[in-house]
Amino acid sequence: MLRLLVCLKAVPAAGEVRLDGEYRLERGSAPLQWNLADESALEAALRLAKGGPGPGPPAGQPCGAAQTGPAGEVTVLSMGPAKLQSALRELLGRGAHHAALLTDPALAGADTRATAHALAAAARALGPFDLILCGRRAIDGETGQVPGQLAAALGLPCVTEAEALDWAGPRPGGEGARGLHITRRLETGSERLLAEGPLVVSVCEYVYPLRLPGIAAMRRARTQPVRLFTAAELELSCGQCGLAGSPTRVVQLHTQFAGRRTGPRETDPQKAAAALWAMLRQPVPRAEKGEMPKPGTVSPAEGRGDPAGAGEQPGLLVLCPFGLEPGLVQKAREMAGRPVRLLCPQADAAQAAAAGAGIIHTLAGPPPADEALFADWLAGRVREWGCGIVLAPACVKMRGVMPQLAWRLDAGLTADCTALALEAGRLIQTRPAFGSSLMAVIRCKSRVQMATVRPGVFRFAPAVPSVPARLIPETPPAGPGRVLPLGFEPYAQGLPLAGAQVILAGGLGVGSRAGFEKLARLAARLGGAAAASRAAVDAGFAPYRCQVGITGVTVRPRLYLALGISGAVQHLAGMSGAGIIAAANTDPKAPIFDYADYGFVGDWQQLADAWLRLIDPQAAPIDHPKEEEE
Amino acid sequence: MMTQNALRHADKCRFCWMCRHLCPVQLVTGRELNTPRAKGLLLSMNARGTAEFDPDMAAAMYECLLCDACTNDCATGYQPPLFIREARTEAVVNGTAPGAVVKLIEAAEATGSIYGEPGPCFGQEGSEVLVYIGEAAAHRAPSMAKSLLALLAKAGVSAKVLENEPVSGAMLADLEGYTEDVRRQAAACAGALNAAGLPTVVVLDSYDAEIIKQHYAEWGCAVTAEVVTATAFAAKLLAGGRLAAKPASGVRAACHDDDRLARSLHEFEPVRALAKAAGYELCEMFNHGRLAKSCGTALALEYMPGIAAQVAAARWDDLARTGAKVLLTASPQAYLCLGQAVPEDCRLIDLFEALL
Repeated sequence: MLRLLVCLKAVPAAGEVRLDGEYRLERGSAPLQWNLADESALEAALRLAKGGPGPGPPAGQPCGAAQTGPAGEVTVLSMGPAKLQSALRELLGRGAHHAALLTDPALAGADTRATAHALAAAARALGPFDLILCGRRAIDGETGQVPGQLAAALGLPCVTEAEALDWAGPRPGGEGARGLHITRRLETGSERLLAEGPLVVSVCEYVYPLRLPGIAAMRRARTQPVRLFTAAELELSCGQCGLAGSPTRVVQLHTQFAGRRTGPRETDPQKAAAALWAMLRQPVPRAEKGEMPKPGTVSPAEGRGDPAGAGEQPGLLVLCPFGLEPGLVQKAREMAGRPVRLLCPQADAAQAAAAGAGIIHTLAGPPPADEALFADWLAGRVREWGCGIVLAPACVKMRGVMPQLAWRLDAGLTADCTALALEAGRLIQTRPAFGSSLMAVIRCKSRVQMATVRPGVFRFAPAVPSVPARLIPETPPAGPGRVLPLGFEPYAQGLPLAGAQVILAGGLGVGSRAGFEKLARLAARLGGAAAASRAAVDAGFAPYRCQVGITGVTVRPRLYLALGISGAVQHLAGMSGAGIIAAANTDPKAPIFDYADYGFVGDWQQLADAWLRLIDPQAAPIDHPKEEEE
Repeated sequence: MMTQNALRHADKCRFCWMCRHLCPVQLVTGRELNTPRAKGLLLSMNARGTAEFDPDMAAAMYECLLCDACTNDCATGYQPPLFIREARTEAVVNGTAPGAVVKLIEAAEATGSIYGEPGPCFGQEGSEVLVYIGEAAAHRAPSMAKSLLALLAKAGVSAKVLENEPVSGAMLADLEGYTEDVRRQAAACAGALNAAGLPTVVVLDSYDAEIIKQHYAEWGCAVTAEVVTATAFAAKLLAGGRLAAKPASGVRAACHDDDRLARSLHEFEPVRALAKAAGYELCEMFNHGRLAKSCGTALALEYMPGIAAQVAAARWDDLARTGAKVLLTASPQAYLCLGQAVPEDCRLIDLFEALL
């Protein structure tokens, strides 16, 4: 029988975050709810157990309606206070077959590595499993690292950010089993993969809405036991779990929410459009294109370990195998005080040298789709190069690779940092958590210190002169491994949100799908990307990939224009880092105005039309939505 | 097995008693147990182990119209219907739900409808819009369904009604909370609406419109067509000149705002536009618009007819205070409930019929 495990995290209900003196979340007293993406993972598992979910249920047909009974079993596993037993029973009422809870005070304060360690021990005790599913990230910590570290702990491959799953052939165990088809959401499009189980997959929120509890299932769940595990029962030592087993430690925590901006407000659409047009046309510093260094050029400090030679600072390596993040390389160079080591595609070598890389390991081809295979190879290189600090941009693929690499290197890993500093050889990392309402300062106590850095937070300053750099060609590991690429399909419309300098976001106020399409056309004319609030996505106006906020993407454009968005905290968390925030809303009391540099009180469509006339007086206005506003 | 979120809502009352003055059931029964606050207190006590979830507690959870007036004015911003709905799930699961409620659920399980029989056939085969009549209107207020269809025909709208119209799940959701059984009904309904392939679905009953517009997508069974309420659609026909306004009659009348239309769908202007077009001189009753006071539900009429009649009578009292003698509604459930208690000197008007 097919056996699936789903790991779920109970996260604090919004607005109920409490911390203890050790900067640990007080889960005992806080009201908790299941993490949204984990619910999506559970629904995917329930459908896979019945034969396969495909991209979603056919309209009007209940999930698994064609099936007569469970062909597989789904076990749900969580870690947290004992009170979660009743919440796990609720999941039994929703169709899970077994439930288990890791509950022990010794597990409190675990970082992602210690959590993965404990979950892996429980998975071994409950297993074996054909497939392990997790949510892509929790809305409290927002690291997204546990799936990769769990996979590494169990020696399994891992695919992150899945938005669709289906069996590729007969179910595993059946004759001719061919594994799992996975559609993975990347920044610029969808990647189609074929994976062989057993493996770990992290699933995006919303893609599989969790079914509701059924009356009959709830009646059965009342008498079903939840299996409890303590650390001792799983033979976890103190040094392996909880705060003591965590290689990263929060050393400072402060609240930091989107600063109130409360800029001027306008009610005349012509004047507002003119003001926004002026903001848009402000010059942007452009990244300098460096000159291609000559092969064999030796940097001032070549050699194993620290590129600068013997010194107190640990060797600093920046991993950009999927595309250069010049601002991050420049930041690394600035922290190290000398050129750093870099791994990047061959095509990016010139700009990498300009950014401050001293030794550039160039990849001739793409890394393998099996991230476990790539992480194995990278771990060997990091050991060989003797690097003590490893940084990477927090793009989707590197957020998948880095946890697996960190596990192999026994390293502490901090996700999605927005600030970095180096003090006496220790990396000081700052990252937002709890929807950016808190900023955590984190140190690694491991020998190798690792971090992923939010793309775009370190801007590349063209003033830094190019340095002589040494190019070392590298051959990425040959595949195929257990994960095969089947294809890549770029998103059909518009620019990707990640990295967009101008974003036009629509909320419920855009009124309809047609309204959002109009907004997207305006964004395209302005050379920007279209985004949406959760309310607009929930209403079906925009696709989920456009969602900005706690449960969507976090953006930092130069100009963010919020149209018909009220300004819920969850949305503000995803866009408060924008350079300029402008808002248009018919409600002068909308909270968004408190966080906007410029506000237009009125109908967003009037503003859009005025703006278009300003850009091109001859241009016909973009069609108004045909549907009624809601 | 209440969720932590529901218990959080049940637990956070600050005893301001505002809901006591707004709850239409409490206002007519005078029972402390019927305040949303008391229901929250009961559930908090149960969660702490100091009160048993027995049939009395379950009965209290059903003496509520889920009209959301308490949420609208809650000082702490909490939502009593959220925990009351979950408490109903609990009552059904643990077997403490009132017998009359259990009978309705069993009928829904056996036949799909709480009324235990198939609805009437409206025999409409149009091609422009699909009209969704809904369970309550089809079984208990078919005259309003017919007047809507006649009005659409008058405007030249080619309307279709499904022959075996599936239920939306709204009734079952009010009886046992948001369960997988409700979602199955929703999925079947969405399937039928999508299969019709028409670009617009006009929904007569706001209870159905609310669940279709606000829950179907979340449950993975979105309706692909544009979903509009019958009142909004008719108002659009008026604005577009496809329906003509009648000359002013000088008759004073008040519009009853259906609570789900007003509070869940934030729609109260179209009803007034229809009323004015029907020639009435409008006045407003106490608690209208977003503060709309419920006059009962079709479901309440089935399992607590006595209380439902009292609630309807109280709404007629509100009309009497305005001095008007005519009450207008475009909601089939309101038409049904208010129709149980029309005072001798007053008239209840179906707005769709008034425009014919």
